Amino acid sequence: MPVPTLARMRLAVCSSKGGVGKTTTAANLAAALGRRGRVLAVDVDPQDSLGRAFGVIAKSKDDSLAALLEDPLADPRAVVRHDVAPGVDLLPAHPELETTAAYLASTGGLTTSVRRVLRPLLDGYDHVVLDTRGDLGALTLAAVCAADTVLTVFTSDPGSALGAARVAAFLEQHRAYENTTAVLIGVACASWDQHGRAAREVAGALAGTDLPVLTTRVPMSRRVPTSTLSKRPVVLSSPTSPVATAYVALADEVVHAAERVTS
Amino acid sequence: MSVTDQATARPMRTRTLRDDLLDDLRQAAPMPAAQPAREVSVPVPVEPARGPEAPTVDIAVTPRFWWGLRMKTLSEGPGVVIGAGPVRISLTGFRR
Repeated sequence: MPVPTLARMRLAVCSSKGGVGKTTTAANLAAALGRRGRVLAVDVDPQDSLGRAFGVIAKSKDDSLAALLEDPLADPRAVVRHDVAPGVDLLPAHPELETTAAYLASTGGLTTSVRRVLRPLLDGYDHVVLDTRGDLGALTLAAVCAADTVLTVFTSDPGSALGAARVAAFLEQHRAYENTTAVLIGVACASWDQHGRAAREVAGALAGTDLPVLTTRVPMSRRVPTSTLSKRPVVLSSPTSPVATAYVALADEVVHAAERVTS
Repeated sequence: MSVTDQATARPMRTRTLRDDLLDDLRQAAPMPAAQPAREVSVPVPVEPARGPEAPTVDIAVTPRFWWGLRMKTLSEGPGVVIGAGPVRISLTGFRR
């Protein structure tokens, strides 16, 4: 089967709210995109959940993004974990990232730090997927600064929809400040409760905004937490399941949206 | 409330919930971004050329502070203050 040529995309998955499925989405998008090209998954969350989704745990700060942010002379290639899934390499986080970020913020080096670390790595990958923490703080800004596109996710929780709207406002503001050129390419439902009234209301309200709501809805599924336990994204652990199929469709939709805005 | 009433009331309630959320989203979603403050040249008011200072009379009523009948000259320039009971009159701007 011919491998489609994909535009290079540096995608940050963001929300101002935690627990809405950012990491699961980032992990599954990376796994889905890894089937068609080389992907670097970057964990920019001190909770190091993206690495754990692939069974990768940095034993110390030195094995993680935190060390690279702190030391401009460090070689990022030495920290990247190769082939954590087919086509996927991973730059893991470590809880010490919290302290490193606070230090860099105090010295003025945080905003551009992730971009600086990733620059020498970009040539080796078709896509970069960055997972962020559940806020719109300085570390998330550093991730967005390294990205050219942003995806945000929502669930049946109205707060998650507000989180998506806040991501859009956050991006507008930091584009105006020239901290980033990243564009919001999608607002995706990461846990679609097809029989739930709240889900319909939230999706309906989002459709009434100018936000770029994506058509793919990832169905709510028990397979997702099970896949986290097994340390393999559901796209790999249950590839024929409806939820895995939806993540693959979401990856396609995201790539097409990115091509539209970056070409 | 009858069953029929409930049935008719429900869609309206649904619409209201969605509208409320939509309002919240529109409030949170991008508005014209706050632009970094730009330096704006503010015209500096030109003070009118001052001629010889005109005498000024200020009358203040100080109901909580009563003055005994007295008169004093101002240390900061030509002027005089006359106080009597709750009234204070100051005369400034005249040449001695």
